[in-house]
Amino acid sequence: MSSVLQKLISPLASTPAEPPRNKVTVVGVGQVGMACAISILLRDLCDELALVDVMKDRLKGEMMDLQHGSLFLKTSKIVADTDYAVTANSRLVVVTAGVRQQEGESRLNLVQRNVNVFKSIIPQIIKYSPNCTLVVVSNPVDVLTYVTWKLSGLPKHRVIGSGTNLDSARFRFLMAERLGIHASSFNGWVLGEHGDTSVPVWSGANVAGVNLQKLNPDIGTDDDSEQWKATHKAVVDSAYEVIKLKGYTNWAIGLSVADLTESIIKNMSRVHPVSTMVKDMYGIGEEVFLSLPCVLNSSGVSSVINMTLTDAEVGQLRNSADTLWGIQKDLKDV
Amino acid sequence: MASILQKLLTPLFSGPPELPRNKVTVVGVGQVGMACAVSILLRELTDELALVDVMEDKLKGEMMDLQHGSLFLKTPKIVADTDYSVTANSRIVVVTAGVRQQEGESRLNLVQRNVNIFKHIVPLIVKYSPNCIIIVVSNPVDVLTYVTWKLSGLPKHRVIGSGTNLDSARFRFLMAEKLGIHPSSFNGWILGEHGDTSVPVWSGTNVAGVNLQTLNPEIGTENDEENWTETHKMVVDSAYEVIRLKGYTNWAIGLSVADLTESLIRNMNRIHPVSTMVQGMYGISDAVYLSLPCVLNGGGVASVVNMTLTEDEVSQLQESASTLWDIQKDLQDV
Repeated sequence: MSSVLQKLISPLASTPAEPPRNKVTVVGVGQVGMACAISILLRDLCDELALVDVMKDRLKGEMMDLQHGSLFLKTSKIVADTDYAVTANSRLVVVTAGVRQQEGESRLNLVQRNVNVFKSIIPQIIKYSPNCTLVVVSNPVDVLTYVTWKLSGLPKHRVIGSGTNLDSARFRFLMAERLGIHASSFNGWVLGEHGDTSVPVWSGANVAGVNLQKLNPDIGTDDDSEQWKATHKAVVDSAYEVIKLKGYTNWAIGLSVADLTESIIKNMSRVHPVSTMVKDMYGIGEEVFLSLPCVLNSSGVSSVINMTLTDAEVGQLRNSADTLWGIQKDLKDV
Repeated sequence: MASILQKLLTPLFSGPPELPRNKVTVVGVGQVGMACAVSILLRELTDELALVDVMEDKLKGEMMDLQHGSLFLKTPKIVADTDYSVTANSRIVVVTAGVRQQEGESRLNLVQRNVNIFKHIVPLIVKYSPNCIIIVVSNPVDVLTYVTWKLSGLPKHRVIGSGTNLDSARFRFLMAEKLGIHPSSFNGWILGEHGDTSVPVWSGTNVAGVNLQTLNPEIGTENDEENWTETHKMVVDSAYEVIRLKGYTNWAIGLSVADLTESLIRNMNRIHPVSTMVQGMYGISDAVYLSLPCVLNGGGVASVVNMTLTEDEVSQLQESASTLWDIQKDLQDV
């Protein structure tokens, strides 16, 4: 007797299943990885989502929980495995694996522990998706993006760090709040290290093209009576603050990664502050990754915007580069 | 000296800020509450989101983390407080507060502990949003929706339990997988208790109007060679399975709550299986809440669809009702 399936459905084409065209893999199903996953799913950005992690049960539980929401989503295939074969043919791979900051700990402290994790995962990613673009999120993101680039053998335009995309989003939110406008209407860039030495480019901050530094030449300095500098400080302190309050951050970083994913998957050529290889720019002589405004599309970082920075801002970028190189040069087996 | 704000912006209108038109409150910022919040935000359903909880630091941390994502969202106001005045003027209040199932624990076991919590929060919700619609998510959802209805004094069409909206979504996902189609193309309803005694209405299951029971009259019975009843069993076991694997469930329930919220906020008159007051229907004489297909719009539950159920299905509903009334009649101070 034929089954319900046989009675109900007559196949027209017995071709093998189509390979995915916009597959995204998220490595690491902790709070950040899952926030990236749900943001990408709710923005309808991929036709297949793969999750990888080492913790088998948790990985399966997260996959099932997302699959149970399939009725409400437009991503028809959600898969997961501890074996990287499940990630094959990804266009984009988001790496959130590794250890995270404890309360009060700086991102740079995590570095050697996370380098060791990456040595096992990056070659696997490349093996199964040799043409992918990698977005590194794990901290310290600038150092780990460098590490990923070295371990992957990919050209530099295909390895991106989530960098200061989040810092800039926080900056725009906090500045916009003070001005009573929406974050998307405030233009301001935070560049350099995603961390304590990030650089707010005050000279470029503007609303509707009106340059804020022209309105207040002291903006961002200690002499500023309005103390706008405090807003950048709040950005730097943000992560520590949220970690102190709830133990970790995830929503904002998840949303910012979905934002980058959209530009890449949809070939949009939007400009985002992300971590890229900056050797030979701004007098930086070392192979470090720092955030600069990058044009992102399906090839990855197609170009970098040449900023008009003040001498002080260039000096800060160089300081960031030195700090990061100071750490990178001591890394083992990269 | 004039501030940047004064130089940059010339106010045209100096009145009190506009009241929100589509405010949503989420009570409880645990994993379920935050999954509801981020799903509602990413579906752009609300102009103001309020979060409430008793844990002050966690609440503030979650609020900040969402606010930091403002650049990527269309909900300009995200607020939070332990004081319910922050929830004033909400159209929809999603209640996820309370204790959750431990591994292996049934939902019914949570009841008296959660009743005590609800006695404190429901009057506060209604005080600040007397015209709201309450969606109860906390388990055991059918009993707690009854409790909420009694404590709130709201008419029954304004108090909804998330009920079997999630069970039905899981059912449609699992059935659709077996047939190689998308869950939205598989029509099937699970009604009654959100829990171990939920009722799969096999007589109504269909794809493109083709009734599955007509194709296989044994469907859902023990005599069925294809053992379709196993799929319903998997739905009942789903939550226990995911809890065993990752400690809790959140994504699927969050997405399903956003789905209900959309029908209510957008006044859509879509039909969802949600928990509603069923006294007087199907020979049920007690004041219990069970899931039936309900038409949801801006007023809440506009109407209930009269199902053509088999005698067996009716008696299963009646059994659910008895089980639930058994628990409800012993509750203190409701």
